[in-house]
Amino acid sequence: MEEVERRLQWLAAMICMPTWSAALWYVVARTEASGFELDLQADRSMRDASPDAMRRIAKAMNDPALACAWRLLALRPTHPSTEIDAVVAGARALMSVAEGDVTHALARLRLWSAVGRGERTADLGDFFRTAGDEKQAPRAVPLCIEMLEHDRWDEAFSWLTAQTRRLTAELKIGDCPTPERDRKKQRTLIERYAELLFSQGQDWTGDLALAWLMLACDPEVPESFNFVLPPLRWLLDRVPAPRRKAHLLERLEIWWRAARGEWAGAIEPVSIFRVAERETTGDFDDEGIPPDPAPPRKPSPAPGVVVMPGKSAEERGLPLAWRDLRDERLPFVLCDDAARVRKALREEYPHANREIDILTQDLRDGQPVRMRPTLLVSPEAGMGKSRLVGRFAELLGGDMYVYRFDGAASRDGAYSGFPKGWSSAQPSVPARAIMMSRIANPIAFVDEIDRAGESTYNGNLWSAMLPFLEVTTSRRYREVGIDAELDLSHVLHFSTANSVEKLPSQLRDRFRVIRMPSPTLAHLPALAALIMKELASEGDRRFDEPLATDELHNIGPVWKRERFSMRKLKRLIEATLEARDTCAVRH
Amino acid sequence: MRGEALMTLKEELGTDIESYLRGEQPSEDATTKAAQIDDWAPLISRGLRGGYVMTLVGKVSNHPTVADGKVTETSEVCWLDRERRWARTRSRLWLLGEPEGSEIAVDGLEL
Repeated sequence: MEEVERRLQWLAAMICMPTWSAALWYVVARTEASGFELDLQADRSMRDASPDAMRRIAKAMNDPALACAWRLLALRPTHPSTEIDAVVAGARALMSVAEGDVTHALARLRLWSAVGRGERTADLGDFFRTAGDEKQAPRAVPLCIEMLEHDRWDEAFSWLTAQTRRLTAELKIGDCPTPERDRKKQRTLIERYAELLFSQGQDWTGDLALAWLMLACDPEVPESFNFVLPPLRWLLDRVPAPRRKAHLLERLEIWWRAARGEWAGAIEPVSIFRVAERETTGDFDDEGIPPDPAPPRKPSPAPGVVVMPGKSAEERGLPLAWRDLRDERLPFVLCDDAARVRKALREEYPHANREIDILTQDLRDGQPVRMRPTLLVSPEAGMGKSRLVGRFAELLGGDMYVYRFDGAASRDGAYSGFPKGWSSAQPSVPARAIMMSRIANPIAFVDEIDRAGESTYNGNLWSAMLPFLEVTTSRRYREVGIDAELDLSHVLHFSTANSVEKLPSQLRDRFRVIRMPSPTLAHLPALAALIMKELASEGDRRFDEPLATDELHNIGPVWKRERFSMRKLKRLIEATLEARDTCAVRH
Repeated sequence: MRGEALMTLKEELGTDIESYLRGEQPSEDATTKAAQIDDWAPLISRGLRGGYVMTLVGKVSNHPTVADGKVTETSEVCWLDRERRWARTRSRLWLLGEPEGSEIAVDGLEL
């Protein structure tokens, strides 16, 4: 199991610490992180650092690696060799189970046994310092990559300090930074030290410098990650061991998400190391539980899909409204009769028959409603683009749902949701569409997408939308607002715009663009009749005669001046009918 | 000429990154030949291979194929100078002008 291996690697690192006090600091950090309360003084040193006290702590540890570590710390070269052998044997037993590389730790343990037997003298009475003379094998994995493994900032700091002191002993560049309370001051000191390291002109000093810069990365300051992540990614590509690499890639992914600001503005700020550990801890497998007997054959369910698989959505973390979506198979809205939908829309848009055909070409009878993301464009306003989306949905049946998002009012990246740390945490627009409709393929409609704000200071609608418009990224979308992975790949995307010019090509390329043509005067009678029908159904006017030729003749040129806007046509017809009333009254 | 390109793009990148790790700055020769990007901002998004990558978006000049002044997104950034004077992407070295003010519009992917 991953967890066991990590603890063993931690123990190996502890054994390889250059001095006893460095090792103590390392173990104290981990012990505190595990929740155990140590009796520490103000400067964080132990009140009682006697071997007895350490043995007592060892006894109280549940984790065998921690217990072993405390017992090792309790050892003194002056102790009886039988005791030293016993503790060292325990450590060696643990190390022998480790899958990763622990040769260095084992070598040190052998040395300690030798000290216990009197075959070697301990350097200044410190086991750890003695073993420091051993030659280091060349590093397979860069230090900065290894930094990704740490679960706590304290741990990472003390480990790196130890490595640095050991490696830079010859360089005479002064000591590395010590922990500071003030984050900003800490960052400055670290950056200064990193520059010093870079100027030493070796590739391992650059590696060390990057590792230090990682300690300056702060989820509250997403930009702090920008210098570190590009080279980290490049270096990680070169790591040979596949299993370890997969784990490291998982960790690196968390760092990238932090760089995107996912954990900025948290109520209780936490280090990136802690976040990475938290986010990558896997579920427990139910090993050893016999499988249930095969259930009786059920009739095949209505077509649907599980949008929120339970294993990537922890129930405790989900808001109440979302809990019953977990592992729930949501139905698709099916297309009953594609021809009927097409015919009705062609009647209502007689000037755009070809475009209606394109719009409805993906509909298949009896199949879930599917459609490529579609962008309706016309330079004129009032061409009925938004209305078309509404009618399309209506004709598909009562279950189809349209979630409308106003592109013109958008000045940030809210489309993809707000992270959980924020007070206004919320999921993405497509996720909301699913939640409110309880179907797997609702319509997410972004109206006037070209009028969205272009600044990316608070995020930007156009970039926020990209992952949702591609099946590979939307099929398992990590919702930051509710901390779950959703299958959003069945959501239908509609948008309207007056022009596609301003839209980034990355966004444009994901849409099928349908240019809505303007009607012409030839379409006037048909459209007028439709509008009359609409007005009649709206309840106001039920007994109107169809528009007479002369009325149409009057409307025509005015409508043309209004560039054939459908909205204006409706108003013109309403005005005509009102004029009729006035005349009627007079007469 | 192609015959003189002794190193592949990938090898060149590797050599460059190793030199930056050693604290070296890009050579004067490389700097004069470099493309420049102004009004730039970093962008972190999903890359082609699934993981996240950082790219830069801004107005490009002195690029071998993209017209001057065109707003473009670079290929993946592999090293960003801590003083923000230059950046090394998978394809080439970039000199960095002023960081982004208020405007950003992406118009094409660098090849």
